[in-house]
Amino acid sequence: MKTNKSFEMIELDVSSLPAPEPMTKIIQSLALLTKQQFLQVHHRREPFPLYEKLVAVGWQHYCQRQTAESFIIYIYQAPLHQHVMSLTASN
Amino acid sequence: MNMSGMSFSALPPIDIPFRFFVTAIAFMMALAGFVFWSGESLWLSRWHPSMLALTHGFTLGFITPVMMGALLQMLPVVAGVGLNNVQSIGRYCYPVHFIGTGLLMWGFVATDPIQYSIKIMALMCLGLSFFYYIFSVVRVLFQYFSQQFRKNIVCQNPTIVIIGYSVLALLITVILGIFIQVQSVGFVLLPTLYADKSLTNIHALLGVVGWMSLLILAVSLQVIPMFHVAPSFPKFSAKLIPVILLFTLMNMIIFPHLTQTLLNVLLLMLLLFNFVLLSVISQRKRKIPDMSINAWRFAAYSLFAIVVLYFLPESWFFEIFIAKKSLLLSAAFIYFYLLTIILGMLFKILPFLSYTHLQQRCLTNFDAMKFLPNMNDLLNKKAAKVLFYCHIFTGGSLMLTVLSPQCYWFFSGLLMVEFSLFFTVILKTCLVYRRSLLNIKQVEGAVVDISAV
Repeated sequence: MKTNKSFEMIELDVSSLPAPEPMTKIIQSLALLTKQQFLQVHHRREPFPLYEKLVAVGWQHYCQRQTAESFIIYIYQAPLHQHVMSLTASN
Repeated sequence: MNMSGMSFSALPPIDIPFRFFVTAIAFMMALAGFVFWSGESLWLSRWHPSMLALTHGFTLGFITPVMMGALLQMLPVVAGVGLNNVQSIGRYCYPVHFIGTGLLMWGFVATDPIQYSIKIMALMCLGLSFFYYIFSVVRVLFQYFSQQFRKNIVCQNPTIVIIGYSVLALLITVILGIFIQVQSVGFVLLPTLYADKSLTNIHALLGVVGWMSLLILAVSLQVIPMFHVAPSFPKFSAKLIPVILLFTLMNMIIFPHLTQTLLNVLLLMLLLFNFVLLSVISQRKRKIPDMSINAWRFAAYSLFAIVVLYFLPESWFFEIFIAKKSLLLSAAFIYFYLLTIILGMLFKILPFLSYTHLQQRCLTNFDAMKFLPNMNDLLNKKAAKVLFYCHIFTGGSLMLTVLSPQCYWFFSGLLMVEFSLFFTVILKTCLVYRRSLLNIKQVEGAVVDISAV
């Protein structure tokens, strides 16, 4: 896990983990986030079941497809929405 | 690609797929009793009424419901789309399917005065449950493809496309099955083009290759990379092979006199896919001992043996093998190929489903994570190992019984042992799930309601 202080972004790479470990890691990371931080997850696939639950408990998410086997998913609280959008636009 | 605006259907309640799984396993225990009750005569011919009942017991009583249940969970996980009438499927489609299967088996072995009525009832039950299920899946696939089309996205997910192919094959299989049964009670619905047993052969091939093997192929594209950190399947195996399989099957319907030639194409395509499967498995990153991987490998090697035996000249074999070749290879395909893969998939799917459902609850309360069981608690590795070897022995006893029908009691006994063990395993998964759910709900401070499982 790597921290980028300027963006308060926590990077998490779960792309080499077998199911269901990616979701476990993501939930563990979410549990440690402060209100100023958001999660950038590197995944091999889109974690569709996670999206639905994230929305249900008030988290937001944004997914960027890099290749057929590489996705970057941002998970954040509503106040950080603009911040994440500007970051993804610059990428 | 922003997916935030997309609506995702919820994972279906865990009890719905588990209903299909548990009842399918219980059905196999009943089938063991049927084998014992039928005795030696069942094994005389492929066309013996009891053999037809047994074949449909395996395919409609076990393989199909397991796949129907798995598909309900697969669509939301793979494509983010789920059936919105999943409760109705669990409430109506599930019991009617098993009642219809039981009635169909009874209809095969029943004698004249009541046979007609039983078959009609069976057809009504199976027809209703299948058409309702197929309509539900097709509707959700249609929604998925329309959504992709509106966004000008070419479907990147071959699994969804192949699921569509297999559901189409299922639809045709069911329609042909209904035609065959209606013809068996005296009505002629199809032209003489489908004389003799060619319609039955096409029905069987569409079911076994089109519905079952294609769906297994679709699921394997997801399950192997996902659970074993293996690379994705090459494009030709994920896109071209399924198209060839479907195209060949469709040609079989149009040109029934070419069935034998087209069967060769089907077998070679399945063999090719299994070579790719073995190659993908060998490239997985986590090379730890795993019964699921053993099952995939065993199934692939079995298919290789079946295809070799099929193509070798008959003069190379003993007379007893030649006489029973068709029955023997069909039984081997169902037991050693299809059932082994399903067993291997269930070794992963059962604990994964339970774990995922529990894990999602932890998003509302991170403290509940300490109550999550590990995957081994949900499906014990030793039990999976015993079950896998028991499955191989049972399959061996099936081969022995086909060649030497007086051994039917041996197969019946082993079938009962295998599926009783499987029943115990799945029951333990349910119990661990319930216990963990209870603990998690206590942390949540909610009213405990575990009646769903």
